[in-house]
Amino acid sequence: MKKLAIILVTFLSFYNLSAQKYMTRNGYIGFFSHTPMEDIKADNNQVASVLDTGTGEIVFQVLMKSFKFEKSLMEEHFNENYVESEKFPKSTFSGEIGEPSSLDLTVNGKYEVVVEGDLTIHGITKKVSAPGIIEVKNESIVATAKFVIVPEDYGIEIPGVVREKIAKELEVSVEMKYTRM
Amino acid sequence: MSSTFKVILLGLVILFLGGAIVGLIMYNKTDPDLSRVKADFVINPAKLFEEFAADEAAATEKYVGRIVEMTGTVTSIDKGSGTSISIRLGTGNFMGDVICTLTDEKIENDIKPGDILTIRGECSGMLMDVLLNNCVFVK
Repeated sequence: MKKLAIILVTFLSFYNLSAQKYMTRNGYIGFFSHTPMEDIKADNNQVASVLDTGTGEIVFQVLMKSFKFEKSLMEEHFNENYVESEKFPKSTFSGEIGEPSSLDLTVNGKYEVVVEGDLTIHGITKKVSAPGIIEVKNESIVATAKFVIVPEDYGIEIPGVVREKIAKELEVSVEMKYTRM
Repeated sequence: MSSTFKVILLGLVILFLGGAIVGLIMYNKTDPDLSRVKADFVINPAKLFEEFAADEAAATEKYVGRIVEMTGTVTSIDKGSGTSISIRLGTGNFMGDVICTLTDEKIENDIKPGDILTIRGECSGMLMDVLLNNCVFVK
């Protein structure tokens, strides 16, 4: 009987932990560069992410090769010359939602949040902070955010010949549709 | 102006224009439609996942950026952002599947879990699952 109780408590503990966790394997991260010479947009619909509504922890992982550009040559330059995808195939973000205790993500609604954490691109990790919106609708959660990154902060060098075509700051958009794990 | 000089000048102009046209075509080239591209590898989802799980670096070297074709059983269909759709092909391994990403205009018929499909796509690598991008259905 004691054994059964231990098994039950262990099971319920795991159930409670997993009940707070939401996941997506096809989240979206895109970036946009605007200069007077050219607009460049890249989309990645293969982002894996886990959100723990209990602790506010949030993790993203992306493959750089999953970013798709309108033009093949841009994609080739991005992977081979700028982010060096073969050397640094993945980018990650690991952080948390500010003041998770003030949020009740078990209740349907739209919540304005600030996410802070470590963003690793091109093998270099920097602290980032971004405002976002979390929308809870029954068993699913949609999280969106926009923020700006500077490629040079991550050791990404843009050659002078294309410098005028690529913005110094890139606007990053995030959209994750989570389902309960 | 001598006729030899005219011929050289014309040659240079043709060379310059030709170069400019080729450059412009190369610059504006988009991703190929994979329905018209021969696959580099024909493999089943379980085998592809197994290779990545056993040695990710070697499988990345072998498959990433290559065109992979596979026949498998659909385990789920998930709508992503915008027109993006992800179709999961089962591997029989609880650790992960193969996720094929495509746009919804490529879907002509209703697809449901249990359907057996042949899909061709460009391998992006592995996160939790092995990922294929720009996918098309092979009829």
